[in-house]
Amino acid sequence: MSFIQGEKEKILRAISQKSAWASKVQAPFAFAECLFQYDFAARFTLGTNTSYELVCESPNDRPMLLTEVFFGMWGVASPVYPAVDFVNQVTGRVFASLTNTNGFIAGHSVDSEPLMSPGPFVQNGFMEPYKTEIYIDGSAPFLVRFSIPAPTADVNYSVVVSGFQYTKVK
Amino acid sequence: MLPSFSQIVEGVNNEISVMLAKFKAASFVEYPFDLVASVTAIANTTSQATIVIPGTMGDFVCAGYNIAFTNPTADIPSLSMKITNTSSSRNWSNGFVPVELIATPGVIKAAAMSYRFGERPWSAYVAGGEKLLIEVQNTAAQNCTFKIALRGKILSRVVAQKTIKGI
Repeated sequence: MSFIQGEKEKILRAISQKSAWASKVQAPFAFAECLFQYDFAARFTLGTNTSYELVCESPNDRPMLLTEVFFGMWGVASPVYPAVDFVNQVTGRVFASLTNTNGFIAGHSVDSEPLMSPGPFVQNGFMEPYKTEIYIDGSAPFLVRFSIPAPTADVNYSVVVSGFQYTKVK
Repeated sequence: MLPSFSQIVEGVNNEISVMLAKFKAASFVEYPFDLVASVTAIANTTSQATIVIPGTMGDFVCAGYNIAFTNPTADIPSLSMKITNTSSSRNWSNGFVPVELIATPGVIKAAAMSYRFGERPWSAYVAGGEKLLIEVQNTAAQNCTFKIALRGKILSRVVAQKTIKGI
């Protein structure tokens, strides 16, 4: 290999590496193109032995990956943690259940002790959202059912079920 | 017949030019950027603000958002919000999201329900030139102030040598 050919190889290899680097730079962009975050949210009140069904329909029936569930509550003297079921609305099939949500996905009520240390700006704390991985094919609406099995007074909840929708942004 | 020295150099230059062109066409410049909005949430109604991403700036990839608001009630949550990309008619939620789950009030009138604090991780993509509509629903009898900052990066495509869009 002549000197010039050797230099040519070096130069082309360097440019090729830059191209590879450019592809890596694009990776987050490509990610954002095919997934975007989506929330299902509601406020509701639960009494004893009652349940609330949050009807979730993926826009354009696209598949979704549900990644977190979190809620806060108010109006009770102590925390009341509901069971959470993910249900196919058409078939009724339960494809995921969080029967013991204590300390995982909720905050706390008005007068209870915080479940985590308060931050610098708040009197109350907020638990980290419950992380999960539930894949929804998008062909049928799914329900997220919150229910209280034990006797209690009415409890008010704020709920967000969050995930990513598989789609092409542009 | 062996190529001449000038032919070899010209060939190398041509190949470099072609590969550089591919590199430029494929590469992006990214830099941090915040989109911010402030809304006076009128009592018992839905108020809104619009964020426009200039088309000359590039695309925006959101990594998270922070919210600040004054709490209009003592212990009953009354604020909720919704973000919509009006240009592409894309909603980021099925309805209004309770803000007590995604933000901390700036003024706490009483020990209330659980509040979240800090930034909420959030992945979203908004193309340059598109508009975001921030809607704030206030069911309380008092007005309040609502502010949002979406943290992300601007992605600008390198369109020509020494000419970088958006910078």
